[in-house]
Amino acid sequence: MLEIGIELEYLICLKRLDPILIIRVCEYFLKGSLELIIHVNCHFLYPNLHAIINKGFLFRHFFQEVCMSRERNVGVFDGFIYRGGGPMLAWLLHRISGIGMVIFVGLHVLASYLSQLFGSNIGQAINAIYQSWFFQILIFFFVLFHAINGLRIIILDLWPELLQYQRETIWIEWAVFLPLFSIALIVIVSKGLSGS
Amino acid sequence: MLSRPAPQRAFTFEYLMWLFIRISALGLYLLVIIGVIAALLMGARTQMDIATLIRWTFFPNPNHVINSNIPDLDLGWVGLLWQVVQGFAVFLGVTHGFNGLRNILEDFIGNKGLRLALRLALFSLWVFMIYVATVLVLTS
Repeated sequence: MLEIGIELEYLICLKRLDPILIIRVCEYFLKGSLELIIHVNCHFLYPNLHAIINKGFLFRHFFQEVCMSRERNVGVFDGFIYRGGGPMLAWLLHRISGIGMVIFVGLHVLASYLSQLFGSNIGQAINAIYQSWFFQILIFFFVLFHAINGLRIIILDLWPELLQYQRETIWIEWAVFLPLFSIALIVIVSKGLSGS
Repeated sequence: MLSRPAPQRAFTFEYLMWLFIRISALGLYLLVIIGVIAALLMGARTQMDIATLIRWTFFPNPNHVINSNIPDLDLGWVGLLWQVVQGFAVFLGVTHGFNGLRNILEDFIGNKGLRLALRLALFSLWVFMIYVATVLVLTS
């Protein structure tokens, strides 16, 4: 059951087949006996898919995101070996950077609040960490990657016919990300090394 | 181990949040563009380094540029306009972030009671962060 789910993701992503077509084929051959793990990121724009879901199938599969819930027993390292490739890495980094930003930005706001209103030493200590250049690189990576990948997801949601090129969109995404990040990296590192 | 079922195609909470995530992301993009263009118009190119410009871009708070070479912050860098922009950034950013956190956690939680408890906890944290950030905006 699980293997079929993974193969399906493989077919959709790598062979660039229409997900609706694949689901219809599965539906035909399996007659509802299968619990497919399908979650299509843009499923609100796919009425057909929902017609199928409403028939009692349980589709839970991350379209460009490998479903790594514990149900499927996919560990982090298995995940890296898995053939998800670019889309899966983007999904993983999107989540990691999202969690990172919630923690870092949340702590930063809290620290500013403490030091601004109460002159607290804790707040100043936390803010001192934020001003270190190592930290600035990390947080800028998170923000920039999350922003660009999020824009890619929005574009794919608005124009689902582009989903067949989703591997290419990952390459475009890196092509946009790397120059922007490199410029900031050079500036931050050179400033950090010169000690200003 | 149950994870959550696929959301229904209806006017549900999940659908609203799905929509909100996308719209708030575009809203944050807009705020970033407003921030960086305004900063450049106000002379950021000669008055601050790129790290400071980036800090101002993501959150146009006067405390983010106070240590740069700006002679007088009152000339455009503080004021009601920027407080409104920061208010939008706070609301969209905090809500977007906490909903993302909820999404990640609920992918792994099938138990309804546990999910409700988690939602209550995240909701309180969301209210708290909105309060803290709003006070920060109003007092800076």
